[in-house]
Amino acid sequence: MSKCDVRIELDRNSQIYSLGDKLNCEVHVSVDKPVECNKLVLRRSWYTHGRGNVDSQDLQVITLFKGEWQPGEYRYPVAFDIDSGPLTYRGHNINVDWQLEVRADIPWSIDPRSSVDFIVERGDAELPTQLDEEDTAPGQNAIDMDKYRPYLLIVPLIFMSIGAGIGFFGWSDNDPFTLIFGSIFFLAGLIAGFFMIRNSLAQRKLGKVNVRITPNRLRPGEEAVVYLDFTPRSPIDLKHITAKLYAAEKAVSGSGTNRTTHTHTLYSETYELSGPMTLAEGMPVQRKFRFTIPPEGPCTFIAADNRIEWKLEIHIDIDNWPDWVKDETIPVVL
Amino acid sequence: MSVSSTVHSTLHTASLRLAFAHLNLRFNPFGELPRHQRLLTAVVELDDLPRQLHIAGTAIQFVADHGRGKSTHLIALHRCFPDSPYTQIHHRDKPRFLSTNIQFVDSIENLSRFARNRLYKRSGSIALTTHRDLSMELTRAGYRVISREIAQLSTDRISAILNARIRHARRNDALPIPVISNATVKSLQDACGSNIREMEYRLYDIFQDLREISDV
Repeated sequence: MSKCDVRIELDRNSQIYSLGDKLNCEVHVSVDKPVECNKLVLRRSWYTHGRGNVDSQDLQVITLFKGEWQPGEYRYPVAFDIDSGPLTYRGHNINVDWQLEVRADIPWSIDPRSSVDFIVERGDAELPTQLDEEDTAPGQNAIDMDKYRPYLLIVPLIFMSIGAGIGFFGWSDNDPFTLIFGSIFFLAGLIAGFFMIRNSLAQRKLGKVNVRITPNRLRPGEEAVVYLDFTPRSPIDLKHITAKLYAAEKAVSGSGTNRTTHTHTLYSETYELSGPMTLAEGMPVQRKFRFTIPPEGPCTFIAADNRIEWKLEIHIDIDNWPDWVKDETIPVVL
Repeated sequence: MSVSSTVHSTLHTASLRLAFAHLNLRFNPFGELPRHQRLLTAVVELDDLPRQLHIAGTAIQFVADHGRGKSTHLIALHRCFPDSPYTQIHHRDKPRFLSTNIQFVDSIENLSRFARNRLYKRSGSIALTTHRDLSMELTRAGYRVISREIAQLSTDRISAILNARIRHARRNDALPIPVISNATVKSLQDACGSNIREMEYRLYDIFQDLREISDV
């Protein structure tokens, strides 16, 4: 049986590259007898590891050779432009890494393969801007779910109707198990329905609450301005208005009924925008504040089972009335 | 208007290094692994199950609760039959099974009774995982049933399973790696019983915080 070894050598011992760099590497092949190779393939890819299921993506796949190797040593130099993310990331539930993997497809044999990890960091180079006009224009950066809410309410209403029906049968048959089962269904629908209409109820008193974040895409270290305004429709007492900027890793492991989501909060900063106050009907309330994504903060990363996201949660706490709460996703880009 | 803020942060500014290089590992060994890598770390004893499964009309069931290693056993057995279909059934899945000599079905209880009976009619032999003993219905379907209950594992066996995970994550073969001691395995058994998945979950956090190569 012939021996075929493959390995990859990077041009930097540190294995660290910055965005904008060129990665030079050499694939070494060593064979001791003639070997037929269907193809020698080099892949540049990122992959996740940690608590969640592994996500990965090949960014480049290059066929370096096809044919027969005679005994000897072969070298295949390759250069890659490190021109896109994600950046290498070390977190608690999620890690993102890059690798080069070479595999020789040898018929009727276990394919020799080898891989080498490397790090992609931001570096000091000025990157071309990724922000476009739309990003700097004031506006909502999330889909306005309010217009779909009446249709979505059908789901909790169905739950409540089924629960009421089952509960009624349980009550009329004097069957406590059926009664409890129906009540649980009814309550689940009621609670889900409440959370779906909570902001609508709050806006009956607050009036329409407008939130604008500008720009609505940021880089680590950059600052955004948030404008919040509403005009109460009736006199109200507010307990407080807060905004919480937070970043969290969400990793999903397993699948089906074994699916588990692991969440780890990386950063949270709570801004107290207002303490207790009494508002008269028609008295406009406007708040403006700034927040900064920490320079060491991670960029947004979204894969099938692993995501890192920044959010801003605005909470208007109304005395003796449902609160108004809204989460705005803040895309943090390279 | 003054805005006050309070911050909680676990972000770190230290320069990046290769993942877990300080432990001579490539990744946290107790994180989630893809199926083909789980196979490489499997420490199971199949005895003559591969030979038995070759006999037409045989059903092999691995029975245990969550996290005991049923799927790992099934994956290891499937390694002996790489050309046979392996189907992982999730809640509410309705997969279509083709008629075949040997079927591998993970989490068969997620199929309805009707779907299971249809599957039995299309399979010469079958290997499956289940939380509850299905020997009655398998026998009724005409199979010769072999049941393997994945019961309490010995401390040595668990130690072998966990240390195999660490070896699989090794970065440099010439350098040492952390080793899980039997004393740690015993304390994990006290806390988690025979639930290996729960042990791995705890060990993940321990390895996240481990700063140098040492016995765990």
